[in-house]
Amino acid sequence: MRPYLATFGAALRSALQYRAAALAGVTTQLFWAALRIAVFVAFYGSLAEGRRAPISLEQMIDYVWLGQALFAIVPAQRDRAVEAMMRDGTIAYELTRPVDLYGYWYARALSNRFGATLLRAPLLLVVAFLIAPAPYALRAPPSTAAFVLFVVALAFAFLVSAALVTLLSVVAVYSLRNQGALLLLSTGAWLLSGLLLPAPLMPEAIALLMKWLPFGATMDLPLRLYVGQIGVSEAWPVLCQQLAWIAGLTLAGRALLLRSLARVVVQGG
Amino acid sequence: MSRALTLYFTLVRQSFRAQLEYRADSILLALSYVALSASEFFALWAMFSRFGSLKGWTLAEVAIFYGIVEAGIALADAVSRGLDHFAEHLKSGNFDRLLLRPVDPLFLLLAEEVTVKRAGRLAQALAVLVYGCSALDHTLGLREFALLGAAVFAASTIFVGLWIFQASLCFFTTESLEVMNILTYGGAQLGQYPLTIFPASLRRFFVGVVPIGLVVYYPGLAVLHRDDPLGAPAWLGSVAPLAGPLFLVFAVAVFKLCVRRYQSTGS
Repeated sequence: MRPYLATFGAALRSALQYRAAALAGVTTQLFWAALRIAVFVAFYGSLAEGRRAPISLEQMIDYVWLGQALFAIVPAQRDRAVEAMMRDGTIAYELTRPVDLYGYWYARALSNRFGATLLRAPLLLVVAFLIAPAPYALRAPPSTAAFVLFVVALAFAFLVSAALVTLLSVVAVYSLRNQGALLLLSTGAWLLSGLLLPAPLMPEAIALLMKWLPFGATMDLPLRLYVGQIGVSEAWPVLCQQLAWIAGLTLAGRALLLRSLARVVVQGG
Repeated sequence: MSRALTLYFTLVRQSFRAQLEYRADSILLALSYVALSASEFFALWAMFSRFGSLKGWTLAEVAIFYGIVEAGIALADAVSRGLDHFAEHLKSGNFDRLLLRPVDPLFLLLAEEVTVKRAGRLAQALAVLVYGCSALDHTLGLREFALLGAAVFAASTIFVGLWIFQASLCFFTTESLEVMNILTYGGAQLGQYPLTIFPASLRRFFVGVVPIGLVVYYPGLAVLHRDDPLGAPAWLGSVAPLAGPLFLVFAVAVFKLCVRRYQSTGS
């Protein structure tokens, strides 16, 4: 376990170097959140008398804030370093390391997500919680139990997301250029993770996709736990689903990596 | 002028050729832009089908605003990739080389690369505009189409102007200031919706200071045959697009001033 923890720590420290960039990022995110909240307030205000949305405006505002704070979890980017390794042959050095390659890449992917979130989320959440004007501010979750479940689901979300990114790296070993896989991943992440709309506001077909593809597990599910749209009693299936994704995606990624490494030819020179 | 145009098209053709060397990559990237922006509009449609309207605006009406601003930023983005690399040019000293050439440096930056990739975003924006025009209650005449064209052009000049400002700031900071994204991408986001749904301070800023709202919203209203719920006069729609080129001229002047006062580190 030690080498993986060390990898995690090193990559995290390097991610934390970009503090100035992160501050700019937080400012942009705040603006984004404000715009999105204005749009949702306008939509909810247009709802015909007597009709109700499956998620309340208050819950939606919390969802927007948390989504902006935590958006780095969503697996929209690949690990460019791994692709570069495949092209310039550095993969040979990677193979000489006395560690499990999948675990090593996984630790890097995880710390990249985690570092990026750690840089942005705290400051943004403080502003959302304390500075934003009252009806539009971030609220506390409905109960302590909801909060605890949210934290657990959030931790699982990081693991699912890292497994997806690592899977993409593994695909890069196969195909060198994996624009196609990247296209699928980024579209899936954008449409199905909750960055655009939470599952309850999506049309039924998309909500179903969000339920049965891993993207929803990276953001939508934890956020709905926080705002209380998924109640404490309904939380167990959510956590089990996340665990299943973690197990399935890591096993698949590892198996695929072993298969493709058996066929890697490093051209000498 | 004609010499500049010939030169521009020669450089652009060169840039197209270079990109077509990586045909599969370019096509996939263009596709991914289509996918990303199409899902954004899809989410908008989903909200309309659930909530009915947006403060009295229909989806077709919002599609007009959305299409104008998206087409504007796609066009602007396609021609100003060179500005995007400006910080690197400055840091590496590459900019000094541009200054030695007998052509305006800003011209060279704009001719550096015209991306094919953004064609996807443009196509999506035009599709949304076509949808919006066909789903409106009234048919559009020549005047409306001219206004649409003018609004798209004006929006694109504002985005190019903003990127020129961002490049000018690099003279002072050497790093590209990402906070400017609030004005560019944030402005694009805001321009997609009718201005009436935003708080007054935000509205004023994006009409008076960075006039994206001005050149999208008011011409859009004229196309929609609607009066401004906030009471702006109707003639504003036909005049507003002029703000775009003016903004661009101002940005170019600022950039030129910065170039004149630029001192290379010399190494």
